[in-house]
Amino acid sequence: MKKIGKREKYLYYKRQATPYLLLAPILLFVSLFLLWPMINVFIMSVQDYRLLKPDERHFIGLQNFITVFTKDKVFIKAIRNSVVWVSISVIVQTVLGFWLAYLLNQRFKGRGLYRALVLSPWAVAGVMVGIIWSLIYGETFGVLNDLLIKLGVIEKNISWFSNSNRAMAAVIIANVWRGIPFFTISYLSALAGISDDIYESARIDGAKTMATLFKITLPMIKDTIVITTLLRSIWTFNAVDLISTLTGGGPNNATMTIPLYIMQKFKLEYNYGYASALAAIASIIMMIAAFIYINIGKLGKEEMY
Amino acid sequence: MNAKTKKKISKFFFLLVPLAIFLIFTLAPFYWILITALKTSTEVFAKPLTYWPTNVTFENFINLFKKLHFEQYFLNSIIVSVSVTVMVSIMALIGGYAMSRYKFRGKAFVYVLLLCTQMFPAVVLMIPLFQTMNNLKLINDLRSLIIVCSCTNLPYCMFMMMGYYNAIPRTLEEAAQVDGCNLLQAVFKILLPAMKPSIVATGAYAFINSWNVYVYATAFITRKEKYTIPLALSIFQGEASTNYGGIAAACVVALIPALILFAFIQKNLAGGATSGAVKG
Repeated sequence: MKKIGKREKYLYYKRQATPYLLLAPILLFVSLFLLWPMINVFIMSVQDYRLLKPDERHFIGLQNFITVFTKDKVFIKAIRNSVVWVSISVIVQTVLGFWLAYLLNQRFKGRGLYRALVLSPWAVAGVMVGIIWSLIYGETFGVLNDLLIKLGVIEKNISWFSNSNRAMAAVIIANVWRGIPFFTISYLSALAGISDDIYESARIDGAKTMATLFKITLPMIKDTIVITTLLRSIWTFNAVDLISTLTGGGPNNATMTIPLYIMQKFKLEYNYGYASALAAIASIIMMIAAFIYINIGKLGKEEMY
Repeated sequence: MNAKTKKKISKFFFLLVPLAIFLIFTLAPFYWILITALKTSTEVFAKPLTYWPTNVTFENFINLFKKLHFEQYFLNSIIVSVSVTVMVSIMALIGGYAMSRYKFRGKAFVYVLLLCTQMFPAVVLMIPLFQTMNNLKLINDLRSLIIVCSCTNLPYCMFMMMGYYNAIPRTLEEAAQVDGCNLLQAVFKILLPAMKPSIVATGAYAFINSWNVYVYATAFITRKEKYTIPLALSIFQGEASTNYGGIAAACVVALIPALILFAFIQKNLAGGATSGAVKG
């Protein structure tokens, strides 16, 4: 009797410990190289710390933060640019991405091949997107100006990166090109989860296509929409590779976003304390925005699952 | 006009025309980069622009390897991506199993914690990680990229695996255990073969992400012989901004592995990625 009890106990603890052991490598790596650095950023943000003077590293309280908000004009501009860059990119990508998913969800010949082709920008690195589109936007030898002249939209070549609004539009279009597939992939799997019976009964009740779209399809994939737009907003906010290769933040900081500015402070001035303060502010802004968004989207736990 | 023609016309305008526009918008940039790479340097700068190269030439591609040592960068990227893929696949396979099959205390916490790490910006992590790598003497060492890329890809890949496990009924392993296998045998003999496509999709996802990694590469790698492809491309673009043909050719070479892999996995990605991440 006692023996069985011991064995049961052993099996019980073994079963209890198994998931933790299985997750241990992931948690170890993530803690060391993602969580700890994140905490470290907040520590460095209250220090005066430059690469060139590592011995003078010391605590300076909120001095870095005060400098950011009172003296740093570029940073204020970068906040505004980041808002424009994220919101327009994500809204356009959501609409076009959903439209494409809706089309792909219908039957037509060659759908498999079409899907592989039309979703392919998903796999293209930000740097490469930047380079590809810089060849397209080129003032004299870019294909876009040539096409627009042929179509009679413009009369002479325009310089896409000398005007601030045009430069922002140009980086957003390139980003949309790359981002649509992410949304389409997410929405496709969500659409596949809606059973045909619902549409069938709606059709019997005499509902028009548009009505089924707004009354059935969109409400049913709402959670997916909230999650994908949130994730993508964060990733778009964080992305630097595309803008840095396409405009480098110019002209006159018109496309300078917060992460790009952090990167430049870090790479060009080696001012770690200050860059960390910027990074801390960026993280806080993002957390607040995500929190508000989740609440507006009513993504409660019980609704999610 | 009868109902059938009406249906055909509506299909044309609401399905085929938008499909065509999406396809053109997607493929045009690829087309342009490819023909730019195939043009001679004089033709690239010839007016009017040509939409089909008059003399197809591979000189841009040849120069890439002869003059710019692109094969070194290519090899570096392969080393990083393959290592990350192997590490991430194994750890995600194991961790995803725990998240899918076990109920345990702190599961929700682990879930939220890992989800949160997906929001950490690379430019933010880059600052402290640079110091860590400096202390570990891993600056200008590809191992720094391998470690960090593995970490950034792990959570999402684990969610993908979790989703794939969830789609496989638990009865599969249980039946095997009833038949006399222990858990480990059941997993290796029954579950892994069923998971093969999922492992490929997750691995390919990690591969493409690490193939494309840029921010960490700019932070950790400064020596030319350790450049990965995105880093080499961005520096090449800065140094030789007028060599359109060369840049285009470099882009084409860099795109090929990622696009081929993507073509293979895009179907599995649709099923797994977000549904795995969303429906816990």
